Amino acid sequence: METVSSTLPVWIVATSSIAALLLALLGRWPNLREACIFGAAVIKLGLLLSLAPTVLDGKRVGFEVIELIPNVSLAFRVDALGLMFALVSVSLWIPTTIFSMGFLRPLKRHAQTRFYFFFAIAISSAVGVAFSANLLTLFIFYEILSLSTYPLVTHHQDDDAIKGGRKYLTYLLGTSVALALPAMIIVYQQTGSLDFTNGGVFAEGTSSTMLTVLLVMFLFGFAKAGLMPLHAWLPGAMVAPAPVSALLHAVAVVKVGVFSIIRVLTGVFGVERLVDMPSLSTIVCVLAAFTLIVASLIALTQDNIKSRLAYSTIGQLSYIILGVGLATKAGIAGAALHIPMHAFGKIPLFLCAGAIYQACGAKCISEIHGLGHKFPLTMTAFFIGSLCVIGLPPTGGFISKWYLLTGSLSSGQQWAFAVFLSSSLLNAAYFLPVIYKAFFAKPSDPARLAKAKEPPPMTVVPLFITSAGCLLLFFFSSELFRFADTFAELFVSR
Amino acid sequence: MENLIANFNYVIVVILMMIGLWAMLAQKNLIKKCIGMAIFQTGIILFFISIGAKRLAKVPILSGDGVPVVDKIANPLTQILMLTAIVVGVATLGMGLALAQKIFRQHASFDEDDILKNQRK
Amino acid sequence: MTEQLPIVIILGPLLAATVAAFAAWIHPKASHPLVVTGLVASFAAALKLVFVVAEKGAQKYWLGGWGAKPEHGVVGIQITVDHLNTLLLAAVSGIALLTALYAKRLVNTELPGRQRYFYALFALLITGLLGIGITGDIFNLYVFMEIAALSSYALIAYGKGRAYMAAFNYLIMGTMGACLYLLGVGFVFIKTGTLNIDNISAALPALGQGQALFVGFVLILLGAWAKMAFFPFHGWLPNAYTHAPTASAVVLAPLATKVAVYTMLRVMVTVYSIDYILHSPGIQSVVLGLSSIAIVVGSFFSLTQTNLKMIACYVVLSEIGYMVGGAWLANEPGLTGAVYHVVADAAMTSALFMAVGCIVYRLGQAQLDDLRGVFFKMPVTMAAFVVTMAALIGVPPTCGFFSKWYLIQGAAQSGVWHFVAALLLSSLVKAIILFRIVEIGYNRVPHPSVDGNPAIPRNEAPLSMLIPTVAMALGLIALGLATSPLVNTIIAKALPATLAP
Repeated sequence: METVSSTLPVWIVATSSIAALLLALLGRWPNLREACIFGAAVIKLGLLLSLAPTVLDGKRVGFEVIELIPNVSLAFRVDALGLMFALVSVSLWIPTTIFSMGFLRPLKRHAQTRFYFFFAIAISSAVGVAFSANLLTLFIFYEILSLSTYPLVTHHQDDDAIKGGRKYLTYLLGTSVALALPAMIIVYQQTGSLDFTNGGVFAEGTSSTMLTVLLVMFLFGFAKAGLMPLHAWLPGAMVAPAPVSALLHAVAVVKVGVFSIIRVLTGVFGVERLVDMPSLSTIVCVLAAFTLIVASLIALTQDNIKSRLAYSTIGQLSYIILGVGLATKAGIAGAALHIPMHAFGKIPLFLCAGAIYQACGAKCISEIHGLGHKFPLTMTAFFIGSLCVIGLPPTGGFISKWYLLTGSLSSGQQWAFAVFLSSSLLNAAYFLPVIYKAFFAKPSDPARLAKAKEPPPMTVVPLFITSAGCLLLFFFSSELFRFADTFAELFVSR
Repeated sequence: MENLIANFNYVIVVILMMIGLWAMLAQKNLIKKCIGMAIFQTGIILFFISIGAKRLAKVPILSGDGVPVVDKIANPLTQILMLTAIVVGVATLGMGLALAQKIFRQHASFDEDDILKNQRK
Repeated sequence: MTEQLPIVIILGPLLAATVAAFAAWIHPKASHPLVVTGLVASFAAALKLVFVVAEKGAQKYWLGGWGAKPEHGVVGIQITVDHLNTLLLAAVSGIALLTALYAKRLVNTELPGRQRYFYALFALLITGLLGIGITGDIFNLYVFMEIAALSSYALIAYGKGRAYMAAFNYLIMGTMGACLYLLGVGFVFIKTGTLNIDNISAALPALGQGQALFVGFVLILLGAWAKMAFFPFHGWLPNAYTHAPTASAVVLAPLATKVAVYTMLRVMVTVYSIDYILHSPGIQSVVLGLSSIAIVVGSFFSLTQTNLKMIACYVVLSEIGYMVGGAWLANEPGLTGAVYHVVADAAMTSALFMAVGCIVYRLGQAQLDDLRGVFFKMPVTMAAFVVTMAALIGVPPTCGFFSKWYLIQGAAQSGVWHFVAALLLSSLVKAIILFRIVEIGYNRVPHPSVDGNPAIPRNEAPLSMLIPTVAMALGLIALGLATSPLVNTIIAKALPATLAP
């Protein structure tokens, strides 16, 4: 496959970091500061789109910045999956920023400049992960992402925030240093290379014990993917302000974890090897399926809206891992497609959680019984988002789940089919009652009922942009599917 | 046994060094520690001098009449080295004693336990 | 001109020390600029030599011309700048220069009226350290070791309170180490009849595995370990560096121990050989075990401390274990990691102590509980501190990540899993320390930009301290990005050819 050399990926990654520096300087003028973010986001999006034709052509755009250790460089290489992930993160950055403005400013929240600064850095590192050409570059951006989101998680600086932040770092930093880093070094020591290669980097005849140990180390080492039992950081991180939970803990951070695992499975182990050694693929599938079901069951029991969404996210992430673990073309394409679909579905949900809090101060589902008609627009967006996550038409979630189901059938693993379906039922079971109760249940708290009103337009507009995205993705899914298909084509032909 | 007698210089050196080391590590009194340090260093100096010595050897001074017979003169190198080591030893001992004096002024004691007790207050 | 450069490295600080001592007698303020001048000369020469060595190979210099001709035989002292020590020399002289600039304000406030001889001692210490690094003669190395040690005893004893006792304990331990080293040199001298490192390494293979040589090897190692505070000889270090004046600790902590590690590396790699170590496997596994223990013990003690200086000292202790362990893995990545880490760790501890020094300068002490709001008071210092801790944790792309990379790779290659575990554990412990400080210094105060909370006044360290600190912290990232060229052009050539894969 052809690789076009261009510095464009470097600039795309750097755009939001440069914006971060700029907006730190502009902190005193909030309007300028936020204009700077929009400018950066639009430029970034434009640059990303300019790469699309080349990448869809089956070529890759690469650039090697500097050699870090012999044979391993800080290098970028954009392929279809990476570009799609970057596109999703950056395009969702815009509505999230609008929402942040509506969410933070009226409440006179402190340290807004710091908030936007680290947010921009986080976007940069997420795109950096998406564009990484080798495991080391990926690891570097992965760690920068963990560190730069810590101030966002502890944004409120109260005891809960500190506790959540502690958990966040313990899980993310602890696992990446203790598991992913040694696994990566062992791979380097065994093979002398860390480049993502389609057929995997291991030589024929590498012992299966070694491969199994490495696989498990990677799966748990990238704990951002939220595989159980290393998932507890995500509900803990929900202490962060709503926009952080929305973009970072439904899209950027968690998807970076999943993305890393996809890269490891396809680029380090190689899909062929997963097919040849069913034990490896079984490990992935069983871990993912377990997480999928258990997380959905836990979500049923959560009363706090954001915790329920967090557990739902944990479950949905495992859809993606399970899809790749099946190692069929439809499975991989479905998994890749589920990244944007779930992102567009989950973001309105999280934003709604923030908007509901703004509308009536409620954080729990039991507190909003019967309040739905006071803020119908917000709840409508919530409904569309839920449809997308559950996977019902006419939303994008339907498309990705369709491919995942096809993939599970063509792999011959019927049990995965059953897992996908039952989990979708569970998804419906924990989302739809929320909407039902919001509109039709008896109000539990009359005082709250009197106070509740639709949040300001700055908050509601992004809800509609993103939920409209869910619907549009259903009708224009073929565009997105080209990305997923270009990526999946690299590995499997069956 | 014969071996020990033939190498009596090493035996003495080892005994000196053990005394010195024991005093440095096990004694509580700072001055005794300094003395132990001096004994330890002396042991090493003797060790070097004795390895450079030869039976019936002369002082290593060239007299101008041709090449000297190496067997008949002591090895000058070890002696030169030990001159330096003695200087170093004196400087260290001086430093140690000066510090001990400072500590004595602070705590009115040379005893390590007393000083530690005093410091905890 | 190039052939005279090696001597400039030690002559710079040596002359500066002598002149500064007299100049201070005439005018107390004269000594600082003199010492800085000497260090600039030394650093410039060392830096130039890095490029010369990378291009042309080892540079040898015979003092007084003795030994430059073959008929002179082994007479005379040789100084050598080769692939193994050139980076160390540049790091030591560079860090010394930055520290000299940094220390001015600290010395003025910490040692008022007594700053006269501080700089002379400082320059003398650097002379000793650079001398250890550059000499090609194992007895000469002992002399430089004692020059450095004597001046560091004095520098530590400049402190208040417990400093005298800490200096005395250090003196006893240091002298014992130096004596053991000297004894070891004696054994090597008996067997080989020479003190020149090149000649010894040429003579040793023919002598085989004699007992005297082995005893000499062990004694030299014990001496170096006592000097570098390797477990179990570490007792003296935390007290000595904590109670020393901050200005002394800033220069001693990064440099003194690293130079001792270099001594060990030089003896292992050049004087004896890696083959020699591989043929005595019993001691190899013992030393590797000790290294892991050193790392774990250092890490855990650093967790239990409540004083920032103490924490930094125990961090130094655990880092010693990295280097000793890496060297004793005795394979290519392990040794690369050890040699690289000597330089990286010198830079990291230097940056760490500089940042801590800034905090102490402004807050007067460094108890963890007193750090509340320090991130608002001193944002730039704390940014440098965070970068430094990130390097110590091993966050890419700082230099700490790459040394850890090579060390773990080496340990994986030899299957020494306890060493891998110890390395990772120490990373995590340092992460805990960093975030504990972030929590206290940042999160535990009401944020000043919220209405009604009092603004925390900005009280940044003076520029003369801040600039070196920030420069050092940025240097950690630069060093990390330069890893590949450094390893390819210099460190790889420092290792014996037999190791190449």
